[in-house]
Amino acid sequence: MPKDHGIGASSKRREDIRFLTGKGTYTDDMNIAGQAHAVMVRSTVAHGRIKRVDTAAAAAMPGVLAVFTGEDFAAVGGNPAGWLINSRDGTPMREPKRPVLAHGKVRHVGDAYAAVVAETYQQARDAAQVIADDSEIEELPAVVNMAAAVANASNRVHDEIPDNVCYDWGWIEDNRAKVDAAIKSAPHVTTLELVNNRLVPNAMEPRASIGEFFPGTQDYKLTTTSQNPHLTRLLVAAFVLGIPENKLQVVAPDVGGGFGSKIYHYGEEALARCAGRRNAASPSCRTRMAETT
Amino acid sequence: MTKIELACDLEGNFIAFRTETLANVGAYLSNFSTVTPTFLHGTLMAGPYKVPNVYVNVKTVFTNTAPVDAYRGAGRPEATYSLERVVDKMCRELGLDPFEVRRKNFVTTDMFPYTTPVALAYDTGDYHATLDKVMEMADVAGFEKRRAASAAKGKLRGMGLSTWIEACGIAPSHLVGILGARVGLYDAATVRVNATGNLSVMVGAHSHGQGHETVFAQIVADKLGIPESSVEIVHGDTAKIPFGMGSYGSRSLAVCGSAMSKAVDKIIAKGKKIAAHMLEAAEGDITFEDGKFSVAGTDKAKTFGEIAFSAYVPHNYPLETLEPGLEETAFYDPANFTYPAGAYLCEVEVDEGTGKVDVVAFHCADDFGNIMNPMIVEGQVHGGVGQGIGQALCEFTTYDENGQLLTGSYMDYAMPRAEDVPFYNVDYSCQTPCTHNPLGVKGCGEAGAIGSPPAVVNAVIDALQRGGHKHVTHIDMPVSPSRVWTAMNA
Repeated sequence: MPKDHGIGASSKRREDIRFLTGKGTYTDDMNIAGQAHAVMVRSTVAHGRIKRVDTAAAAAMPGVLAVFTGEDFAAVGGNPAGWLINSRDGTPMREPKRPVLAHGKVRHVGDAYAAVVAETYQQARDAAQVIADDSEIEELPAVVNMAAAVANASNRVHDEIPDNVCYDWGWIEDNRAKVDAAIKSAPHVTTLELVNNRLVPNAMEPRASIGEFFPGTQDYKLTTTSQNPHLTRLLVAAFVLGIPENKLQVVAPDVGGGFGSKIYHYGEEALARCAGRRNAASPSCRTRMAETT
Repeated sequence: MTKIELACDLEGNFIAFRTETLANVGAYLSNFSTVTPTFLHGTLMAGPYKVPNVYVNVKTVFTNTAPVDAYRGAGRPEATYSLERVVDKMCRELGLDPFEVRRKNFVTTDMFPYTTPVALAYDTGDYHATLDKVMEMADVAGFEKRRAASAAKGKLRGMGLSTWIEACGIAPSHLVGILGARVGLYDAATVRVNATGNLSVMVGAHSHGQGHETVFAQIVADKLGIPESSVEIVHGDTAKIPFGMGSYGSRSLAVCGSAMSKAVDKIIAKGKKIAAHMLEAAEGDITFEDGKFSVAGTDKAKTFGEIAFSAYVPHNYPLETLEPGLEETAFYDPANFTYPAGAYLCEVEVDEGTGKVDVVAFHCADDFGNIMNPMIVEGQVHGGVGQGIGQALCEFTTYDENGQLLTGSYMDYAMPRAEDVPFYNVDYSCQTPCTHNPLGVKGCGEAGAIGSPPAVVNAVIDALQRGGHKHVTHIDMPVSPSRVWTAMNA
């Protein structure tokens, strides 16, 4: 007889009452008084040198409250990798800084290099287009194919990393000679070369963030689509923006799936927090198109 | 891109695995992007097998493409796919039975705890049991009859097996610290008994669809002998919850659930002290069962609600030795990963004229340890396998030579739809409980996505081989109609 409650019972999911009747509370559903909207200006080329980002015309457009470029974040910390990997020879991995907004170079289609905060989403989109029109990005040859990336030392994603290799890892390096010998002397060896196809996590809810600033207490609040609000708080506060953890509250309300994609901290979250500081809460609800880039 | 070599004797006993991988990390390092192709992948490269020699080499490369990071399974699907595909290919080369080859190479139940050559210590499992189970579920003996029926419809039918293992419930902080992690990987829960006897439980795990609000309440209610409706699960707000590391790597129940279980144990221990005072008995004589604190061997008892009320209205209460209130926090840092494992069997039909693959049956025999809510476990497996079938048959992000994304919309990026997946046959009756967490749970969130892609691709290759296309030994995912047709007609 199956149990009807407690451990081992197929208790019905209590959360489904709100999820299935449209009564969940998702970040993009929230509307805070005076809320503004942020739109990113994204690279249309895979690799390019940023020659000019002119925000003057955009800043003067109706409803525009603030514009940001990579230069605004040049002094704050980058988004760190959570795990240090050493190469076989013991050297630490090459770890280029991941900025909130790109400066110097854009490195993939969709790499954000500027952002606009405006009273409405449409105003922000219009101004973002003007920044894109007023910017000059010199397109560089793209590093796409991995074999070519390793072989062609002259074409670098990051100028400081000559062969585009982050690390060359062996596990376990002490096994290597023994394994090589075992394979050499084995009666049969089967070899297979394969490609693991690149996938895009497609949660039902795209990512979104709202940043708020409370002048009376100097507190910040970030409402965001996260699988791990404390980890996001740690990354935003301690690593990227350098504000005390106790002054930043991170809320992950109902979140419509993650599959991994909402573990990580994204530059847009840091930007929402900064935009909030300028009295402009900014949900950057990204479109499905942006999600795949 | 992976090159894997499997060395064995002519009876199919494994001698060594060696892999060389180039991993594309995109333009920048996302937070977990460095560990996914390394420690979440290389450490699983022994699979459920007692292979003595394993070496894994991974070069991670920057390209002008979007940064990539962990996706359901994260590194472990890639390890499982490489292993289960190469085992399948070896069986075909040597004319061996894929079921028997796995059987003779499995780590056996008398070998646990078992340390692999790639440094994991599997605590418990029974890989023969899940393989036997899936063969029974799938009626392997009846395959020829089903194949003949498919052939009568003009379809090629194939059967593919995948026996998978994962390390999840990520994980011991001291170990991941040695391996380079820049964070700890414990979790935490605070159990607050309110004055009227109901509970608010604040957890570090985050639920974004999994059903924690239901399952976590079931566990607390069961342990305290109270209705599930008396327990509210609070999550997702740093101002309310203890410092937890969140939900990924099938860790919510194994790590945060364990913290919560420990916090409930503290509540019961304190309740016994309060009950001892109220019942004028020695603390050691108090037992707790079915929501009642009793003096052993007597009919003297206080309900959980009475004890909770006394903790907040402490008029008859041992205030000299005990703080009022009934609220406990526990942090839990696991001693090891957990090791769910299972056997998946897929049957496909291939249309020889178009190359289209239909998954017509999918059987899963999983060992997740103890099961808290069977319905939710089944749902997790369904979802995971659906994503795995999506990877195997449909999904592919691709760029042109200039780094322009060619699959930027759902018109170009094929998500699996209802018609692409079969009705699943799921079993979780093979249970070897985790030996080192208090609930004996292993985690089930990623299993389906880890175990299923090689089962699908193995089934497609099997169908083509049985259909006479002997030259086809591998097709890269996604095994789309055009790729299958091209391979058949090459």
